[in-house]
This record gives sequence, C-alpha cells and structure tokens, in this order.
Amino acid sequence: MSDRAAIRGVVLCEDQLTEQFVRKLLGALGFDTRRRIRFARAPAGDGSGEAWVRRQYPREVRELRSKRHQRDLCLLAIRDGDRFGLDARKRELDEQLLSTELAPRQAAERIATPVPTWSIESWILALLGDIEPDEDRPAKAELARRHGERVGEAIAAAVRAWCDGGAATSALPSLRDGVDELSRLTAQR
Amino acid sequence: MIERVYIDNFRCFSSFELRLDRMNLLLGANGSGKSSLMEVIATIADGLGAGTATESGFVPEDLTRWDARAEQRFELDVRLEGAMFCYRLRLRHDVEGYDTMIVEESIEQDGRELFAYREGQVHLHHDDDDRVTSFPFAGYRSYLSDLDDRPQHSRLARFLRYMRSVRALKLIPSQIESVTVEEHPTLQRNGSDFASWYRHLAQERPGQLHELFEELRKALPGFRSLALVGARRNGRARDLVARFDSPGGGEHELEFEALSDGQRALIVLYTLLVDLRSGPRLLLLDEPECFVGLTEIRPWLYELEEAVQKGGQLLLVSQHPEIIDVLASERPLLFERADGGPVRVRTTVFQRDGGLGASEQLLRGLDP
Repeated sequence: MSDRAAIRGVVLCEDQLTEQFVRKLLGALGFDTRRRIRFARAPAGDGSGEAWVRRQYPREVRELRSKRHQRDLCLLAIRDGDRFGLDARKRELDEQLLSTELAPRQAAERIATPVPTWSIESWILALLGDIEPDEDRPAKAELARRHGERVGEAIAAAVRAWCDGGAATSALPSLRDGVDELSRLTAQR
Repeated sequence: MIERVYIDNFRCFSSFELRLDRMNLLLGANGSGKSSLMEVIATIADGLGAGTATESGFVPEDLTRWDARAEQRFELDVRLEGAMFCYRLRLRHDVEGYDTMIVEESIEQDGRELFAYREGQVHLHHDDDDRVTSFPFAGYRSYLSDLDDRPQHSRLARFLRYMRSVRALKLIPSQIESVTVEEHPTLQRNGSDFASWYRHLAQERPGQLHELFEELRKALPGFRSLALVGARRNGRARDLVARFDSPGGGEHELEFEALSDGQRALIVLYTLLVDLRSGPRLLLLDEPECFVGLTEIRPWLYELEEAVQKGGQLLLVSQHPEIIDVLASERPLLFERADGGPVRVRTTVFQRDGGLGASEQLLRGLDP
C-alpha cells in the first residue's frame, strides 16, 4: 500500500459536484477513497452549503488534533470562493476555529482548505480549457450547458488535466493554491 | 424521466400530485406512503409490460379506506428526449365481486393523443397521418402490454420501451434462489429470480460481466466471478455460483444460496448498477441498504449517483443515516400524514446553517 493509500481522512464539501471532483482527484492521486476517506456533504435545504462546511470544520479539526499521535489522519474542507475569494474564505475558517477556542490551522497540520473560485465549476472548466480562466465570474450554469449529462466524464478529464500538471500551471490563483493545499494532506510531520 | 405523478384514491393517496427530479430521496415515518408511491409506478410499469395492471396489480383492497368511491386515477408525465408523454389510467373496482376493470387509459405526446382506451374500444393513432385504428377490447388488462415495436406506432413504442425498462427492487436476499431454468428479462421486485435475470444479462450483454466482476472484486473480499454451472434437474437448469479465492491458493465455488444475505444484496445491487450504466432507466429502490455492511453503502451509492447523472432517474426510500446524509444534498421529499390522513410531501426540509447532518436533524425532529 502506498503512503497515500494508507492515509485516513474526512472531506467536508458543499455539494455532490464537489464531492465527485474531489473523490476522483484523490483517487487519481493514490488515496483510498473507497475505504479510508470519509466524505461528508451539506444537506439540501435552507441556508448555504458553504456555511454548513464552515460549521462542521471546528469539530473535525478538534477530532483530528485529539488523535495527533495517529500520523495517517487528514482533513480536507473545500468551499467555493464565490464573490469573497480565496483569502477571505481561508480567513473565515481560521476565525471559525478561534470562535470555538481552537488555534488556527498550523503549517505542519494535515489540514487542507482549498477554495475553488468562483466555484468548483470554474476549476473544472479551466482545467478542460473550456473557458478563459476567470475567478470573478460565476460559472455554475456554464458547466451544465457545455457538458449536461456527461458532467462525470468532464470531471474525469479535468482530473487527468490536474494530474498532468494543468492545475499547478493554471492561470487561476485558487487552482494553483489548491495544488499546494492538497500537498498538505501528505506533508511529513 | 418521470416528472409528475398523480394518484387518487389509492391507499393513503388522495388527489396526490408530486413533481420528481432525477435524484429523489423519499423520507418519512413508517406508513407515510413512500413504498406505496414506488409500488404505484412499478405496478403501472408492470401493466404496460406484462399485462398485470389490473389482473394482479391494482386490487380493491388498495382503495382509500375513508373514500367511498370505487374509481382510482393514476397519471404519469414522462419526459423523453424533449418530448412530454402523459399517461392516464382510470380503474373501477367491484369490491364485492373482487373485480377490477380499466375504465379509461390514454397516452398523449405533447398534447397529441397516441393511444386511448375508453368505452370498451381501443383507439390507436398512427404516427404519420391522422388515421386511427379502433377495435373492441375487454378492459381487464391494458392493451398496451400486447403492443410491440411497430413502425407506425414508433412514438408510442418509445414510451412503452421506457416504462418497460423500469427496475423496481425491494430486496429480500434470503428469497433469492441459486437455480435458474430460463432467462428472465426483468427482475422480480424481491430479487428472488436474480439467477434467471443474471442468466439473461449473461446471454444478452456478456461484455458487461467483466465490468460487474471488477466492481464486485472491490466490494467483496476474495471475490472472483459469477458463473452458471451444472444441469442438475433438466437440460436447461443451471446453478448460479460465486467464485472466491481459496486461502491456500486457487479458487472455490459457493452456490448463490450459500452466500450471506449481505453478499447476495451487494451482488444484486452492483448488477443493477451495471445494468443502469448500459442505458438510462428509472430505478425504484426500497431500502436497498438493508443487509449491506456499513462501509459498503457509500461506495455503491456514489457509483449509483454517477450512473443516474448520465440520464437515469432514481427514486430511493431509505431510513439509513448513511444514505440520508448523502442523498439529502439533492432534493429530499419528506412524506407526512397528519392524523393518519392523506399523504402530503414537503421538499424543503433541512437547515444547513446549524451544522448538523440531515439524518441527525431528522432524529432530533428539527423543523424549518
């Protein structure tokens, strides 16, 4: 079993599309998404999915820190940047920790907080080269318009592009940051 | 996909109308009508395929107990590649004679009648012109179950093909038999004839077996393959067996009946998944997670969601937190019956700002 395949963790996400993307991406990167990575996604209903992830975050951080001696644990909390953007979203998560009397995320912690901006659709379309990279414009409808019922195949192609280096060299700052964030999941401590 | 269902005077459904999406999680207390909704759709589909709409499908006991009328009405709006088909069925039950007759049945496409049965006459409209073929028919079952693919009725055939492809499952693994004597193109709702359905798939779509075995190898430790072997009772009888790695190398066979309930359930569920990938269809799944190990529910559900996304449709009843928490991110349908009265459905159910999962909110009885 590779190092990545042995890692256990939790992924907090807003919706099915994000889960689909992250699941395929982590799988392609060698994580065991079937048995060792637990996905939790926001329920449909009143309120925002982003807020649901933010409110779950402290509990999962506390859980992770309580098992500090287990070196193969990780946490990934992914939220769309929307109009707020990368830095504001990351700040919100640290503030959420502080509000529950937890220390902000530390550099050595296996906690990743990628922020697809404008949204996960922007990442997928940018990785596919479907649109000019743009973090200031919503792209939710564009993905459905271009790929419709074949969105699963579009995600698979986007993940291949990520693995081929398309994310690290993307013109989207949030996508390049996403690569750095994911590297935290396997960081040596 | 089915976009709208209307049911009147059936069990706890009284003038009941429901809009459906591609993914539909049906939630609610026991006796709130979830399984009955699935049963209506499955029975209509059976009636259009096997002619059971009245003979063994809808029966007088299914009339709403607090309603004195003897007539039932069912309607389905089905969108297929942009065309909207409207199916209507009106039944009359003779409670004392234990008899059920179709009073009226019709199918329209985008407002144009394709088929009608009324006053003892079938009216079949041709695709290309205004001609109508009419003839008498006894309404003990649907004439549509007899109708095969004819070029002059291609629109009607398109609707019927879709309805006949519906798969409904309320699995009881212990009732699945190993022995099959013939192929079955459809699967019984309790899964009991799985061996015969598998035999049909192996014959018609052998290329898919590799895909099925790949999925099952991930879900069942040591699993290698399924096979139809032997001819114990007569020349056509076969036993369905599962082959597994043996501890000391090589492989061993287990008759399907020798597998655990959970193993049988997983094999049926992954076969349904692979079947769904072969063509868009409607799946009606009533508590499919029963018997399945906790860690195996999510991987199967994830694959199912992705398969449905490619043009299928899912109606799923579940009481399991694992399924509720995943599928509640789509549009959950909460079935309720105030004071034991007719079914009502709410669609906006959960609060997301509170940070609790959907199942936990249900358990705590939270209300928006």
